Amino acid sequence: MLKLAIVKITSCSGCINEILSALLEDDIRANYTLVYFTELVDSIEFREADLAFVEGSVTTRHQEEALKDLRKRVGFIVATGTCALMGGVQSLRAMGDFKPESRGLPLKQESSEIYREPKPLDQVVKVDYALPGCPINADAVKTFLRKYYLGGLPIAIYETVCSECKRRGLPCVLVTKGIPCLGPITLSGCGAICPSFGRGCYGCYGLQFHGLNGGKVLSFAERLRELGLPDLDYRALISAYSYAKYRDLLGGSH
Amino acid sequence: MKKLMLEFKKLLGDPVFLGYKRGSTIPVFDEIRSISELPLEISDVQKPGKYEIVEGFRFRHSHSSPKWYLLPPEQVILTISPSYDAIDSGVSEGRRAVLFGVKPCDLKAIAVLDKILLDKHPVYTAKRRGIVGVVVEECMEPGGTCFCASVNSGPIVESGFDVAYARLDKETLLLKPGSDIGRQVLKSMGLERASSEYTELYKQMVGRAIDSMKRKLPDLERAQRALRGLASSQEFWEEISKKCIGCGNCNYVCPTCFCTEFIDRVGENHAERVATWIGCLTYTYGLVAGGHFRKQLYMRYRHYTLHKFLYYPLQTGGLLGCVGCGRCITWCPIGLDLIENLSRVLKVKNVEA
Repeated sequence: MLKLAIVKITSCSGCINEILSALLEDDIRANYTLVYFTELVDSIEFREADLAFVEGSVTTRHQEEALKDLRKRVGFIVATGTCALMGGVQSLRAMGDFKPESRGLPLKQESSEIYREPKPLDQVVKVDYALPGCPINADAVKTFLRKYYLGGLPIAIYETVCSECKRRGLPCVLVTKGIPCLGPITLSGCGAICPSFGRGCYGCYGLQFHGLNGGKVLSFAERLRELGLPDLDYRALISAYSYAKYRDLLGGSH
Repeated sequence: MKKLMLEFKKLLGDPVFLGYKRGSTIPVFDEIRSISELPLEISDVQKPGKYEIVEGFRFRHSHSSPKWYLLPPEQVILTISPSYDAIDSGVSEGRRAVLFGVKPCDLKAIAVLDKILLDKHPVYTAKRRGIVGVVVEECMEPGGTCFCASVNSGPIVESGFDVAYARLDKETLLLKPGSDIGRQVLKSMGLERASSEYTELYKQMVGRAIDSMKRKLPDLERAQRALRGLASSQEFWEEISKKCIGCGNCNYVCPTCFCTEFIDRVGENHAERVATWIGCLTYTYGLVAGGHFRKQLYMRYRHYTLHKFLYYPLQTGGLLGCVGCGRCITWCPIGLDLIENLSRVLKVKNVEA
């Protein structure tokens, strides 16, 4: 039996639902025991775990410290979801006028302890494996948990949504209909859900950043602009889920 | 067309027909169950990064190709039990099939894949051996991104088929046999021999088709020599791949790209090893135990180009990996133009003729 912890920081619990779905499989449940999972298990503390899924991005100093402590007690950390990998949709606040006080947030902490730019996990602790997605895909969790128990890991696939679209034989919505689609610069893993319904990808698995640089992203943005997307929108569109990577490639936008 | 199909059916003992099939969106390569499924009353309009179906009678191809059948996107090559016993090797007999209405470039692509995969790749070999008939539609009006004449793979066919037809106009077919089976089929169709009026028209149309292809490689050997000379110029490849975003679309739509990645899918009661298409433009491709051998995108773009024009000939006994279908240009979301880039190779590297 491997000890499993499911940890949630700033996030929506969408990924946790997918993990739950994976844990409904008999063979997986037989090999893992939950030592920490505040949504399901009545324990607010745990000593150690073999494996932890961490959902969400780091948005306060308190979370950062808790994660550093977690790292000491967990053998293997899986950054879970686009928030944990690239900041997630809450990172949009970095592009706006950030005043936590004015939003009526209950501030026990000093406002300086709340980060304007949510941090991906790897900016805070060493991450052993990454599962992208908003939310992640239960099938990917099942594959991961089964392989991890056998002593292996899934191959990390850094492809774009286009590869899944093409393998499914779907006609490209961008090329055939001129629909702005982020598929060409978005990480694969969803199975090309949006294009299969004739709409453009909106990038929820995050930027496929390997091999991209600012110029390439801008040349793609230029293509989206040609397709009728006004200048202002593409930045929000491209950075919506993966602000941290977007900022690495193009600089901050506030 | 119906007669042609029926004769093949009779002669070859009810094979399945595989070809471009009209669907709710754009035609894809699939099983053809009735003549009405053939894309006979549409044309495609192709430009860099743009594809559209309009009324007409000049359908060339789509993102799909015979590769979708012969070397499918996902090939289950092994299924094992939790105790690691092989349950299924994944390879079954290929169905007896006739390729119907494939294009000269498709045929050339199969010839290329044959050299690399036949009798080596079990899935490909089984399916390929099941192909008992080939009917080719020659291209009297090539598509907007086609350049088959530059790479000697169209717009007409000389060999490797049973029957080839050319649509001189919407109603008139000119057929030619390419094998004994083809001769038998045409004989039992009871067709008249084409008059010189039609054969002359055909020749004119072929000439016009070749001229109409705006994309041309002026001299293949010169281009190859220039590529060899530029192979190690980082600056050149960075410049030429500046807009490429490494999405891999060109790989997947290319009728000769054959690379796969083995992915193990572990289920509750069994596990499968699946050979899955992978593009050499994507980051995963160069990822191996111990590191990565083409980390920068320009290296991957360079490999893609050099493989098509320099390395395939070494693997195939002289055939290029490019058949001039233009799919990589049409289906590139950015609209990058391979031929334009090759022309730049020639400009940069001034090699003697």
